[in-house]
Amino acid sequence: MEIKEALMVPFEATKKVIRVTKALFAPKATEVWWDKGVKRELHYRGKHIIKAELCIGCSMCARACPVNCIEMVPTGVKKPRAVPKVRGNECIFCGLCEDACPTKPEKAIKLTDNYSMIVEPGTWDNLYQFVFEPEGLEEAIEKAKKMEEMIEKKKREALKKKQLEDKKGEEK
Amino acid sequence: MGSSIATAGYTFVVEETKEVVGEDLGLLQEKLLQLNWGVQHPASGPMRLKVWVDGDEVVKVDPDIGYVLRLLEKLVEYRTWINAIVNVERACFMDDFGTMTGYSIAAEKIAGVEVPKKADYVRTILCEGGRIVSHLIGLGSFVGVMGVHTPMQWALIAREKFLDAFETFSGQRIATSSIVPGGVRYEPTGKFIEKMVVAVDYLEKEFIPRYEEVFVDNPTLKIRSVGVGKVSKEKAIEIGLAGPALRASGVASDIRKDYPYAAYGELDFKVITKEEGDSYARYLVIWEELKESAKIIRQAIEGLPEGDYRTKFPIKVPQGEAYVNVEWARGCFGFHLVSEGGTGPYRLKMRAPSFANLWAMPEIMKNVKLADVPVIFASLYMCHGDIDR
Repeated sequence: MEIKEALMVPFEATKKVIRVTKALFAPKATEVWWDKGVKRELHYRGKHIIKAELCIGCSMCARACPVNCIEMVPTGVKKPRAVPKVRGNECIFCGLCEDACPTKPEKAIKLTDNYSMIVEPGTWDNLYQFVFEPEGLEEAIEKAKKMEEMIEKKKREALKKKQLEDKKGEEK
Repeated sequence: MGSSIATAGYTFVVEETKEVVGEDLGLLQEKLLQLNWGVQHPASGPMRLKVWVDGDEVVKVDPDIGYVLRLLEKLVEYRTWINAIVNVERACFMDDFGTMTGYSIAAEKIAGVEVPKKADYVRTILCEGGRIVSHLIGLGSFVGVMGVHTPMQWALIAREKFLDAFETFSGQRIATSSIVPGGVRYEPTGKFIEKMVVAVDYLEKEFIPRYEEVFVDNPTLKIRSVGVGKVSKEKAIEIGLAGPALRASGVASDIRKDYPYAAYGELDFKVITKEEGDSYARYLVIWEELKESAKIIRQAIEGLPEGDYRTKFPIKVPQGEAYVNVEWARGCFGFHLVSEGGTGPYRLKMRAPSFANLWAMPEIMKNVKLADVPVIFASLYMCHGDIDR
Protein backbone atom coordinates (compact mmCIF):
# COMPACT_ATOMS: atom_id res chain seq x y z
CA MET A 1 0.00 0.00 0.00
CA GLU A 2 1.28 3.39 -0.93
CA ILE A 3 1.37 6.27 1.45
CA LYS A 4 -1.32 8.14 -0.47
CA GLU A 5 -3.77 5.26 -0.17
CA ALA A 6 -2.95 4.76 3.50
CA LEU A 7 -3.73 8.40 4.15
CA MET A 8 -7.09 8.06 2.41
CA VAL A 9 -8.27 5.13 4.61
CA PRO A 10 -9.62 7.13 7.61
CA PHE A 11 -11.24 9.60 5.25
CA GLU A 12 -13.08 6.87 3.36
CA ALA A 13 -14.11 5.19 6.61
CA THR A 14 -15.65 8.37 8.03
CA LYS A 15 -17.46 8.90 4.72
CA LYS A 16 -19.02 5.46 5.01
CA VAL A 17 -19.97 5.96 8.67
CA ILE A 18 -21.70 9.22 7.80
CA ARG A 19 -23.60 7.56 4.94
CA VAL A 20 -24.84 4.75 7.19
CA THR A 21 -25.96 7.08 9.97
CA LYS A 22 -27.75 9.25 7.44
CA ALA A 23 -29.59 6.23 6.05
CA LEU A 24 -30.66 5.20 9.56
CA PHE A 25 -32.59 8.43 10.13
CA ALA A 26 -33.81 9.01 6.59
CA PRO A 27 -37.47 8.30 5.75
CA LYS A 28 -38.17 4.83 4.37
CA ALA A 29 -37.97 4.40 0.62
CA THR A 30 -40.96 2.02 0.62
CA GLU A 31 -44.41 2.72 1.92
CA VAL A 32 -47.05 0.55 3.47
CA TRP A 33 -49.75 1.09 0.87
CA TRP A 34 -52.65 -0.67 2.53
CA ASP A 35 -52.89 1.90 5.33
CA LYS A 36 -53.33 4.78 2.90
CA GLY A 37 -56.84 3.93 1.79
CA VAL A 38 -56.15 3.95 -1.93
CA LYS A 39 -59.30 4.65 -3.93
CA ARG A 40 -59.99 2.40 -6.87
CA GLU A 41 -62.19 2.92 -9.90
CA LEU A 42 -65.97 3.09 -9.89
CA HIS A 43 -66.63 -0.56 -10.66
CA TYR A 44 -63.61 -2.00 -8.88
CA ARG A 45 -64.32 -5.60 -7.93
CA GLY A 46 -62.76 -6.21 -4.53
CA LYS A 47 -63.89 -7.63 -1.20
CA HIS A 48 -67.61 -8.40 -0.81
CA ILE A 49 -69.93 -6.60 1.54
CA ILE A 50 -73.10 -8.49 2.44
CA LYS A 51 -75.88 -6.60 4.21
CA ALA A 52 -78.09 -9.00 6.14
CA GLU A 53 -80.88 -6.43 6.63
CA LEU A 54 -81.38 -6.02 2.89
CA CYS A 55 -81.03 -9.70 2.01
CA ILE A 56 -84.25 -11.50 1.15
CA GLY A 57 -82.64 -14.94 1.05
CA CYS A 58 -83.50 -15.77 -2.58
CA SER A 59 -80.09 -17.46 -3.19
CA MET A 60 -79.82 -15.94 -6.68
CA CYS A 61 -76.21 -14.99 -5.98
CA ALA A 62 -75.31 -18.57 -5.12
CA ARG A 63 -76.85 -19.76 -8.38
CA ALA A 64 -75.10 -17.09 -10.43
CA CYS A 65 -71.66 -17.85 -9.00
CA PRO A 66 -69.50 -19.63 -11.61
CA VAL A 67 -67.19 -21.23 -9.05
CA ASN A 68 -69.81 -22.11 -6.42
CA CYS A 69 -68.05 -20.21 -3.67
CA ILE A 70 -71.24 -18.73 -2.18
CA GLU A 71 -72.91 -20.75 0.51
CA MET A 72 -76.38 -19.97 1.83
CA VAL A 73 -76.32 -20.20 5.64
CA PRO A 74 -79.75 -20.79 7.21
CA THR A 75 -80.65 -18.15 9.79
CA GLY A 76 -83.51 -19.86 11.63
CA VAL A 77 -86.02 -17.14 10.84
CA LYS A 78 -88.49 -16.97 7.98
CA LYS A 79 -87.24 -13.81 6.28
CA PRO A 80 -84.45 -14.02 5.27
CA ARG A 81 -84.43 -17.79 5.38
CA ALA A 82 -80.72 -17.93 4.54
CA VAL A 83 -77.95 -15.40 3.94
CA PRO A 84 -74.95 -15.75 1.64
CA LYS A 85 -71.44 -16.40 2.90
CA VAL A 86 -68.60 -16.01 0.39
CA ARG A 87 -65.49 -18.17 0.57
CA GLY A 88 -62.87 -15.58 -0.30
CA ASN A 89 -60.27 -18.20 -1.08
CA GLU A 90 -62.19 -19.61 -4.02
CA CYS A 91 -63.81 -16.39 -5.29
CA ILE A 92 -62.65 -15.08 -8.68
CA PHE A 93 -64.21 -11.63 -8.17
CA CYS A 94 -66.26 -11.66 -11.35
CA GLY A 95 -69.09 -9.67 -9.81
CA LEU A 96 -71.87 -11.81 -11.28
CA CYS A 97 -73.44 -12.24 -7.81
CA GLU A 98 -73.91 -8.49 -7.63
CA ASP A 99 -75.59 -8.50 -11.04
CA ALA A 100 -77.95 -11.26 -9.98
CA CYS A 101 -79.06 -9.68 -6.68
CA PRO A 102 -82.68 -8.54 -7.07
CA THR A 103 -82.96 -6.11 -4.08
CA LYS A 104 -83.66 -2.51 -5.01
CA PRO A 105 -82.41 0.22 -4.88
CA GLU A 106 -79.41 -1.03 -2.91
CA LYS A 107 -78.00 -4.48 -3.53
CA ALA A 108 -77.60 -6.81 -0.57
CA ILE A 109 -74.35 -8.28 -1.90
CA LYS A 110 -71.84 -5.89 -3.34
CA LEU A 111 -68.21 -5.82 -4.38
CA THR A 112 -66.39 -2.92 -2.74
CA ASP A 113 -63.16 -1.17 -3.69
CA ASN A 114 -61.42 -2.74 -0.70
CA TYR A 115 -58.69 -4.94 -2.11
CA SER A 116 -56.40 -5.50 0.88
CA MET A 117 -56.90 -9.15 1.55
CA ILE A 118 -54.10 -10.64 3.59
CA VAL A 119 -54.07 -14.09 5.13
CA GLU A 120 -51.11 -14.84 7.31
CA PRO A 121 -49.67 -17.44 7.34
CA GLY A 122 -51.14 -18.70 4.07
CA THR A 123 -51.81 -22.25 5.17
CA TRP A 124 -54.76 -24.20 3.85
CA ASP A 125 -56.59 -23.99 7.19
CA ASN A 126 -56.23 -20.23 7.32
CA LEU A 127 -57.25 -19.80 3.71
CA TYR A 128 -60.28 -22.01 4.22
CA GLN A 129 -61.39 -19.79 7.08
CA PHE A 130 -61.02 -16.63 4.95
CA VAL A 131 -64.71 -15.96 4.51
CA PHE A 132 -66.72 -12.80 3.85
CA GLU A 133 -69.46 -12.96 6.49
CA PRO A 134 -72.74 -11.05 6.25
CA GLU A 135 -72.79 -7.77 8.18
CA GLY A 136 -75.29 -7.12 10.99
CA LEU A 137 -76.62 -10.66 10.88
CA GLU A 138 -77.58 -10.89 14.56
CA GLU A 139 -79.42 -7.58 14.49
CA ALA A 140 -81.23 -8.63 11.35
CA ILE A 141 -82.20 -11.94 12.97
CA GLU A 142 -83.47 -10.14 16.10
CA LYS A 143 -85.41 -7.73 13.96
CA ALA A 144 -86.88 -10.56 11.99
CA LYS A 145 -87.81 -12.39 15.18
CA LYS A 146 -89.52 -9.29 16.56
CA MET A 147 -91.37 -8.87 13.31
CA GLU A 148 -92.47 -12.49 13.42
CA GLU A 149 -93.68 -12.04 17.01
CA MET A 150 -95.55 -8.91 16.00
CA ILE A 151 -97.17 -10.71 13.11
CA GLU A 152 -98.11 -13.64 15.33
CA LYS A 153 -99.59 -11.28 17.93
CA LYS A 154 -101.60 -9.55 15.26
CA LYS A 155 -102.73 -12.88 13.93
CA ARG A 156 -103.80 -13.99 17.41
CA GLU A 157 -105.66 -10.75 17.97
CA ALA A 158 -107.35 -11.07 14.65
CA LEU A 159 -108.32 -14.65 15.50
CA LYS A 160 -109.69 -13.56 18.88
CA LYS A 161 -111.69 -10.80 17.25
CA LYS A 162 -113.03 -13.21 14.71
CA GLN A 163 -113.98 -15.72 17.39
CA LEU A 164 -115.69 -12.97 19.42
CA GLU A 165 -117.57 -11.82 16.35
CA ASP A 166 -118.58 -15.38 15.56
CA LYS A 167 -119.82 -15.86 19.13
CA LYS A 168 -121.80 -12.63 18.93
CA GLY A 169 -123.26 -13.76 15.65
CA GLU A 170 -124.29 -17.08 17.16
CA GLU A 171 -125.86 -15.34 20.14
CA LYS A 172 -127.92 -13.11 17.86
CA MET B 1 -33.61 -40.88 -25.27
CA GLY B 2 -32.27 -43.17 -27.95
CA SER B 3 -35.43 -45.22 -28.00
CA SER B 4 -37.61 -42.15 -28.57
CA ILE B 5 -35.78 -41.45 -31.80
CA ALA B 6 -36.14 -45.07 -32.80
CA THR B 7 -39.90 -44.96 -32.19
CA ALA B 8 -40.14 -41.78 -34.25
CA GLY B 9 -38.81 -43.71 -37.22
CA TYR B 10 -35.24 -42.48 -37.20
CA THR B 11 -32.32 -44.81 -37.38
CA PHE B 12 -29.04 -44.32 -35.65
CA VAL B 13 -26.27 -43.35 -37.94
CA VAL B 14 -22.99 -43.81 -36.23
CA GLU B 15 -20.57 -41.45 -37.87
CA GLU B 16 -17.54 -42.22 -35.82
CA THR B 17 -16.81 -43.57 -32.40
CA LYS B 18 -15.51 -40.82 -30.24
CA GLU B 19 -13.65 -41.70 -27.14
CA VAL B 20 -12.14 -39.26 -24.75
CA VAL B 21 -9.67 -40.78 -22.34
CA GLY B 22 -11.23 -44.16 -22.83
CA GLU B 23 -14.74 -42.86 -21.98
CA ASP B 24 -17.70 -43.31 -24.28
CA LEU B 25 -19.26 -39.96 -25.16
CA GLY B 26 -22.61 -41.52 -26.04
CA LEU B 27 -24.82 -38.87 -27.62
CA LEU B 28 -22.13 -37.39 -29.77
CA GLN B 29 -22.04 -40.62 -31.71
CA GLU B 30 -25.57 -40.22 -32.99
CA LYS B 31 -26.13 -38.27 -36.12
CA LEU B 32 -29.59 -37.12 -35.07
CA LEU B 33 -29.79 -35.42 -31.72
CA GLN B 34 -33.03 -34.80 -29.91
CA LEU B 35 -33.25 -31.48 -28.10
CA ASN B 36 -35.99 -30.36 -25.76
CA TRP B 37 -36.72 -26.79 -26.74
CA GLY B 38 -39.09 -25.63 -24.15
CA VAL B 39 -40.76 -25.55 -20.81
CA GLN B 40 -37.66 -23.96 -19.36
CA HIS B 41 -36.74 -22.00 -22.46
CA PRO B 42 -37.48 -18.28 -21.97
CA ALA B 43 -39.30 -17.98 -25.31
CA SER B 44 -41.29 -21.19 -25.34
CA GLY B 45 -43.90 -20.64 -22.68
CA PRO B 46 -45.52 -23.64 -20.99
CA MET B 47 -44.84 -26.00 -23.89
CA ARG B 48 -42.14 -28.29 -25.22
CA LEU B 49 -40.84 -28.72 -28.73
CA LYS B 50 -38.98 -31.91 -29.42
CA VAL B 51 -36.44 -30.83 -31.99
CA TRP B 52 -34.33 -33.37 -33.85
CA VAL B 53 -31.22 -31.77 -35.23
CA ASP B 54 -28.63 -32.95 -37.68
CA GLY B 55 -25.67 -30.79 -36.79
CA ASP B 56 -27.19 -27.31 -36.88
CA GLU B 57 -30.10 -28.17 -39.13
CA VAL B 58 -33.55 -29.05 -37.85
CA VAL B 59 -34.83 -32.35 -39.23
CA LYS B 60 -38.10 -32.72 -37.41
CA VAL B 61 -40.13 -30.84 -34.83
CA ASP B 62 -42.76 -32.41 -32.63
CA PRO B 63 -44.72 -30.11 -30.30
CA ASP B 64 -45.62 -31.49 -26.90
CA ILE B 65 -48.56 -29.59 -25.42
CA GLY B 66 -50.94 -29.95 -22.50
CA TYR B 67 -49.12 -28.12 -19.74
CA VAL B 68 -51.92 -25.58 -19.23
CA LEU B 69 -54.94 -27.74 -20.02
CA ARG B 70 -57.90 -26.47 -18.01
CA LEU B 71 -60.83 -28.28 -19.68
CA LEU B 72 -62.56 -25.00 -20.45
CA GLU B 73 -64.94 -26.58 -22.95
CA LYS B 74 -66.09 -29.17 -20.43
CA LEU B 75 -66.40 -26.63 -17.61
CA VAL B 76 -68.77 -24.53 -19.69
CA GLU B 77 -71.27 -27.41 -19.58
CA TYR B 78 -71.65 -26.91 -15.83
CA ARG B 79 -72.37 -23.17 -16.09
CA THR B 80 -75.42 -21.09 -16.81
CA TRP B 81 -75.68 -19.08 -20.05
CA ILE B 82 -74.44 -15.91 -18.39
CA ASN B 83 -71.66 -17.12 -16.13
CA ALA B 84 -70.06 -19.37 -18.75
CA ILE B 85 -68.19 -16.25 -19.90
CA VAL B 86 -65.68 -16.62 -17.07
CA ASN B 87 -64.53 -19.90 -18.61
CA VAL B 88 -64.66 -18.65 -22.19
CA GLU B 89 -62.60 -15.55 -21.47
CA ARG B 90 -59.90 -17.62 -19.84
CA ALA B 91 -58.98 -19.17 -23.18
CA CYS B 92 -56.31 -16.49 -23.29
CA PHE B 93 -55.80 -13.66 -20.86
CA MET B 94 -54.38 -11.26 -23.45
CA ASP B 95 -57.40 -10.75 -25.66
CA ASP B 96 -60.35 -11.96 -23.60
CA PHE B 97 -62.90 -9.70 -25.29
CA GLY B 98 -62.79 -11.52 -28.63
CA THR B 99 -63.68 -14.89 -27.12
CA MET B 100 -66.43 -13.43 -24.96
CA THR B 101 -67.92 -11.64 -27.97
CA GLY B 102 -67.91 -14.84 -30.02
CA TYR B 103 -69.60 -16.87 -27.31
CA SER B 104 -72.16 -14.13 -26.66
CA ILE B 105 -73.07 -13.84 -30.34
CA ALA B 106 -73.50 -17.62 -30.55
CA ALA B 107 -75.76 -17.66 -27.48
CA GLU B 108 -77.79 -14.73 -28.82
CA LYS B 109 -78.22 -16.49 -32.16
CA ILE B 110 -79.74 -19.55 -30.46
CA ALA B 111 -81.94 -17.50 -28.14
CA GLY B 112 -83.01 -15.08 -30.87
CA VAL B 113 -82.03 -12.06 -28.82
CA GLU B 114 -81.17 -8.83 -30.58
CA VAL B 115 -78.46 -6.73 -29.00
CA PRO B 116 -78.78 -2.94 -28.76
CA LYS B 117 -76.56 -0.95 -31.07
CA LYS B 118 -74.66 0.67 -28.23
CA ALA B 119 -73.59 -2.74 -26.94
CA ASP B 120 -72.29 -3.61 -30.42
CA TYR B 121 -70.17 -0.48 -30.51
CA VAL B 122 -68.81 -1.02 -26.99
CA ARG B 123 -67.95 -4.59 -27.95
CA THR B 124 -66.07 -3.29 -30.97
CA ILE B 125 -64.11 -0.82 -28.85
CA LEU B 126 -63.24 -3.50 -26.31
CA CYS B 127 -62.33 -6.10 -28.96
CA GLU B 128 -59.96 -3.68 -30.67
CA GLY B 129 -58.51 -2.68 -27.30
CA GLY B 130 -57.89 -6.34 -26.58
CA ARG B 131 -56.32 -6.79 -30.02
CA ILE B 132 -53.93 -3.89 -29.41
CA VAL B 133 -53.00 -5.24 -25.98
CA SER B 134 -52.31 -8.65 -27.48
CA HIS B 135 -50.40 -7.32 -30.51
CA LEU B 136 -48.17 -5.19 -28.28
CA ILE B 137 -47.10 -8.30 -26.39
CA GLY B 138 -46.66 -10.14 -29.69
CA LEU B 139 -44.34 -7.45 -31.05
CA GLY B 140 -42.37 -7.30 -27.83
CA SER B 141 -41.91 -11.03 -27.58
CA PHE B 142 -40.91 -11.37 -31.24
CA VAL B 143 -37.96 -9.03 -30.77
CA GLY B 144 -37.50 -10.47 -27.28
CA VAL B 145 -36.62 -13.94 -28.58
CA MET B 146 -33.70 -12.40 -30.45
CA GLY B 147 -32.32 -11.09 -27.20
CA VAL B 148 -33.50 -7.48 -27.15
CA HIS B 149 -35.86 -6.84 -24.27
CA THR B 150 -36.38 -3.10 -24.65
CA PRO B 151 -39.38 -3.30 -27.04
CA MET B 152 -41.21 -5.53 -24.58
CA GLN B 153 -40.82 -2.89 -21.87
CA TRP B 154 -42.02 -0.15 -24.22
CA ALA B 155 -44.96 -2.29 -25.24
CA LEU B 156 -45.87 -2.94 -21.61
CA ILE B 157 -45.93 0.80 -20.91
CA ALA B 158 -48.37 1.34 -23.78
CA ARG B 159 -50.39 -1.70 -22.73
CA GLU B 160 -50.76 -0.33 -19.20
CA LYS B 161 -52.83 2.61 -20.48
CA PHE B 162 -55.29 0.24 -22.12
CA LEU B 163 -55.51 -1.87 -18.99
CA ASP B 164 -56.34 1.29 -17.05
CA ALA B 165 -59.22 1.92 -19.44
CA PHE B 166 -60.47 -1.66 -19.00
CA GLU B 167 -60.31 -1.24 -15.23
CA THR B 168 -62.41 1.90 -15.41
CA PHE B 169 -64.94 0.07 -17.53
CA SER B 170 -65.26 -3.23 -15.72
CA GLY B 171 -63.28 -3.11 -12.50
CA GLN B 172 -60.61 -5.60 -13.50
CA ARG B 173 -57.57 -5.17 -15.64
CA ILE B 174 -57.21 -8.56 -17.26
CA ALA B 175 -60.04 -11.00 -16.47
CA THR B 176 -62.75 -8.43 -17.12
CA SER B 177 -65.74 -10.76 -17.77
CA SER B 178 -67.50 -7.70 -19.15
CA ILE B 179 -69.26 -8.99 -22.28
CA VAL B 180 -72.28 -11.22 -21.65
CA PRO B 181 -75.01 -12.68 -23.86
CA GLY B 182 -77.43 -9.77 -24.27
CA GLY B 183 -74.95 -6.91 -24.41
CA VAL B 184 -72.22 -5.62 -22.15
CA ARG B 185 -72.32 -5.65 -18.38
CA TYR B 186 -71.47 -2.04 -17.64
CA GLU B 187 -72.40 1.37 -18.93
CA PRO B 188 -69.56 2.88 -21.00
CA THR B 189 -69.06 5.96 -18.86
CA GLY B 190 -67.42 9.18 -19.99
CA LYS B 191 -64.40 8.34 -17.90
CA PHE B 192 -63.90 5.06 -19.75
CA ILE B 193 -64.10 6.78 -23.13
CA GLU B 194 -61.69 9.43 -21.88
CA LYS B 195 -59.16 6.83 -20.73
CA MET B 196 -59.50 4.90 -23.97
CA VAL B 197 -58.77 8.07 -25.94
CA VAL B 198 -55.77 8.77 -23.71
CA ALA B 199 -54.48 5.25 -24.35
CA VAL B 200 -54.96 5.49 -28.12
CA ASP B 201 -53.33 8.93 -28.12
CA TYR B 202 -50.33 7.53 -26.28
CA LEU B 203 -50.14 4.64 -28.70
CA GLU B 204 -50.34 6.78 -31.83
CA LYS B 205 -48.28 9.77 -30.74
CA GLU B 206 -45.66 8.26 -28.43
CA PHE B 207 -45.32 4.53 -28.90
CA ILE B 208 -45.68 4.12 -32.66
CA PRO B 209 -43.19 6.82 -33.80
CA ARG B 210 -40.61 5.79 -31.20
CA TYR B 211 -40.96 2.09 -31.96
CA GLU B 212 -41.00 2.62 -35.72
CA GLU B 213 -37.75 4.53 -35.57
CA VAL B 214 -35.85 1.71 -33.92
CA PHE B 215 -37.47 -1.68 -34.36
CA VAL B 216 -39.17 -1.53 -37.75
CA ASP B 217 -36.91 -1.68 -40.81
CA ASN B 218 -34.07 -2.47 -38.46
CA PRO B 219 -31.14 -4.02 -40.39
CA THR B 220 -30.13 -6.42 -37.59
CA LEU B 221 -33.70 -7.57 -37.15
CA LYS B 222 -33.98 -8.11 -40.90
CA ILE B 223 -30.87 -10.28 -41.00
CA ARG B 224 -32.45 -12.61 -38.45
CA SER B 225 -35.98 -12.71 -39.84
CA VAL B 226 -36.17 -11.96 -43.57
CA GLY B 227 -36.58 -15.19 -45.53
CA VAL B 228 -36.85 -17.28 -42.37
CA GLY B 229 -39.74 -19.71 -42.23
CA LYS B 230 -41.10 -18.79 -45.63
CA VAL B 231 -44.60 -19.99 -46.50
CA SER B 232 -46.12 -19.52 -49.94
CA LYS B 233 -49.76 -18.57 -50.47
CA GLU B 234 -50.83 -22.06 -51.58
CA LYS B 235 -48.98 -23.76 -48.78
CA ALA B 236 -50.41 -21.42 -46.14
CA ILE B 237 -53.92 -22.45 -47.17
CA GLU B 238 -52.92 -26.11 -47.40
CA ILE B 239 -51.43 -26.34 -43.91
CA GLY B 240 -54.21 -24.21 -42.44
CA LEU B 241 -52.50 -21.16 -41.05
CA ALA B 242 -54.66 -18.58 -39.30
CA GLY B 243 -54.67 -14.92 -38.43
CA PRO B 244 -51.70 -12.62 -39.03
CA ALA B 245 -49.59 -15.58 -40.20
CA LEU B 246 -52.08 -16.31 -42.99
CA ARG B 247 -52.36 -12.66 -43.97
CA ALA B 248 -48.57 -12.38 -44.17
CA SER B 249 -48.65 -15.03 -46.91
CA GLY B 250 -50.93 -12.91 -49.07
CA VAL B 251 -54.36 -14.34 -48.18
CA ALA B 252 -56.72 -11.51 -47.28
CA SER B 253 -58.76 -13.47 -44.77
CA ASP B 254 -60.35 -11.40 -42.05
CA ILE B 255 -63.65 -12.33 -40.39
CA ARG B 256 -64.24 -8.67 -39.55
CA LYS B 257 -64.41 -7.93 -43.27
CA ASP B 258 -65.75 -11.23 -44.65
CA TYR B 259 -68.57 -11.88 -42.16
CA PRO B 260 -68.93 -8.66 -40.16
CA TYR B 261 -70.11 -8.99 -36.56
CA ALA B 262 -70.63 -6.39 -33.81
CA ALA B 263 -70.19 -2.95 -35.42
CA TYR B 264 -67.44 -3.85 -37.87
CA GLY B 265 -69.77 -3.65 -40.86
CA GLU B 266 -70.27 0.06 -40.32
CA LEU B 267 -66.65 1.01 -39.77
CA ASP B 268 -63.98 1.74 -42.31
CA PHE B 269 -60.76 -0.25 -42.12
CA LYS B 270 -58.56 -2.30 -44.37
CA VAL B 271 -57.19 -5.82 -44.18
CA ILE B 272 -53.42 -5.85 -44.02
CA THR B 273 -51.65 -8.41 -46.19
CA LYS B 274 -48.06 -9.02 -47.12
CA GLU B 275 -46.77 -11.11 -50.01
CA GLU B 276 -43.44 -12.32 -48.63
CA GLY B 277 -44.73 -14.89 -46.13
CA ASP B 278 -41.62 -14.95 -43.97
CA SER B 279 -41.13 -14.15 -40.29
CA TYR B 280 -40.49 -10.48 -40.94
CA ALA B 281 -43.71 -10.16 -42.95
CA ARG B 282 -45.68 -11.70 -40.07
CA TYR B 283 -44.08 -9.20 -37.70
CA LEU B 284 -45.01 -6.32 -40.02
CA VAL B 285 -48.62 -7.53 -40.30
CA ILE B 286 -48.96 -7.41 -36.52
CA TRP B 287 -47.31 -4.00 -36.51
CA GLU B 288 -49.63 -2.50 -39.12
CA GLU B 289 -52.75 -4.06 -37.62
CA LEU B 290 -51.91 -2.17 -34.46
CA LYS B 291 -52.30 1.13 -36.31
CA GLU B 292 -55.49 -0.06 -37.98
CA SER B 293 -57.01 -1.05 -34.63
CA ALA B 294 -56.29 2.38 -33.19
CA LYS B 295 -58.19 3.90 -36.14
CA ILE B 296 -61.15 1.55 -35.56
CA ILE B 297 -61.33 2.55 -31.89
CA ARG B 298 -61.42 6.22 -32.81
CA GLN B 299 -64.21 5.62 -35.33
CA ALA B 300 -66.23 3.53 -32.89
CA ILE B 301 -65.92 6.15 -30.14
CA GLU B 302 -67.10 8.85 -32.54
CA GLY B 303 -70.06 6.80 -33.69
CA LEU B 304 -71.09 5.54 -30.23
CA PRO B 305 -74.91 5.70 -30.26
CA GLU B 306 -77.21 6.53 -27.34
CA GLY B 307 -79.47 3.98 -25.72
CA ASP B 308 -79.43 0.78 -23.73
CA TYR B 309 -76.30 -1.25 -23.33
CA ARG B 310 -77.87 -4.52 -22.26
CA THR B 311 -81.08 -6.42 -22.94
CA LYS B 312 -82.54 -9.22 -20.92
CA PHE B 313 -81.23 -12.66 -21.77
CA PRO B 314 -83.62 -15.55 -21.03
CA ILE B 315 -82.69 -18.02 -18.30
CA LYS B 316 -83.77 -20.99 -20.44
CA VAL B 317 -82.77 -20.99 -24.08
CA PRO B 318 -84.63 -23.09 -26.70
CA GLN B 319 -82.98 -26.02 -28.47
CA GLY B 320 -80.62 -25.17 -31.26
CA GLU B 321 -77.11 -24.88 -32.57
CA ALA B 322 -74.96 -22.01 -33.70
CA TYR B 323 -71.51 -21.66 -35.20
CA VAL B 324 -69.92 -18.25 -34.94
CA ASN B 325 -66.51 -17.08 -36.13
CA VAL B 326 -64.84 -14.02 -34.71
CA GLU B 327 -61.58 -12.42 -35.69
CA TRP B 328 -59.59 -12.76 -32.53
CA ALA B 329 -56.16 -11.14 -32.09
CA ARG B 330 -54.49 -14.38 -33.20
CA GLY B 331 -56.88 -15.31 -35.97
CA CYS B 332 -60.28 -16.77 -36.61
CA PHE B 333 -61.82 -18.18 -33.43
CA GLY B 334 -64.79 -20.48 -33.95
CA PHE B 335 -67.51 -21.28 -31.44
CA HIS B 336 -69.85 -24.21 -31.94
CA LEU B 337 -72.51 -23.88 -29.26
CA VAL B 338 -75.27 -26.44 -28.71
CA SER B 339 -78.34 -25.89 -26.59
CA GLU B 340 -80.66 -28.62 -25.32
CA GLY B 341 -83.18 -26.23 -23.85
CA GLY B 342 -81.56 -26.01 -20.45
CA THR B 343 -80.28 -23.21 -18.25
CA GLY B 344 -76.78 -23.63 -19.62
CA PRO B 345 -74.86 -24.71 -22.74
CA TYR B 346 -75.05 -28.41 -23.61
CA ARG B 347 -71.73 -28.36 -25.45
CA LEU B 348 -69.25 -25.78 -26.60
CA LYS B 349 -66.48 -26.48 -29.07
CA MET B 350 -63.86 -23.82 -29.51
CA ARG B 351 -61.80 -23.79 -32.68
CA ALA B 352 -58.60 -22.02 -31.79
CA PRO B 353 -56.29 -20.33 -34.33
CA SER B 354 -53.12 -20.90 -32.31
CA PHE B 355 -53.78 -24.63 -32.34
CA ALA B 356 -53.97 -24.56 -36.13
CA ASN B 357 -50.77 -22.55 -36.35
CA LEU B 358 -49.00 -24.89 -33.96
CA TRP B 359 -49.60 -27.98 -36.07
CA ALA B 360 -48.58 -26.11 -39.20
CA MET B 361 -45.30 -25.21 -37.53
CA PRO B 362 -43.44 -28.55 -38.02
CA GLU B 363 -44.03 -28.12 -41.76
CA ILE B 364 -42.52 -24.63 -41.71
CA MET B 365 -39.61 -25.64 -39.50
CA LYS B 366 -38.18 -28.23 -41.87
CA ASN B 367 -34.56 -27.64 -42.85
CA VAL B 368 -34.07 -24.43 -40.92
CA LYS B 369 -31.19 -23.63 -38.60
CA LEU B 370 -31.65 -24.32 -34.90
CA ALA B 371 -31.26 -20.62 -34.11
CA ASP B 372 -34.28 -19.87 -36.30
CA VAL B 373 -36.61 -22.06 -34.24
CA PRO B 374 -37.48 -19.36 -31.66
CA VAL B 375 -37.85 -16.73 -34.38
CA ILE B 376 -40.38 -18.80 -36.35
CA PHE B 377 -42.12 -19.83 -33.16
CA ALA B 378 -42.58 -16.23 -32.03
CA SER B 379 -43.55 -14.99 -35.49
CA LEU B 380 -46.45 -17.46 -35.70
CA TYR B 381 -47.91 -15.52 -32.77
CA MET B 382 -49.36 -18.30 -30.66
CA CYS B 383 -50.94 -18.30 -27.25
CA HIS B 384 -50.59 -21.34 -25.02
CA GLY B 385 -53.87 -20.67 -23.27
CA ASP B 386 -55.80 -21.32 -26.42
CA ILE B 387 -53.59 -24.16 -27.70
CA ASP B 388 -54.47 -26.23 -24.65
CA ARG B 389 -57.79 -24.70 -23.56
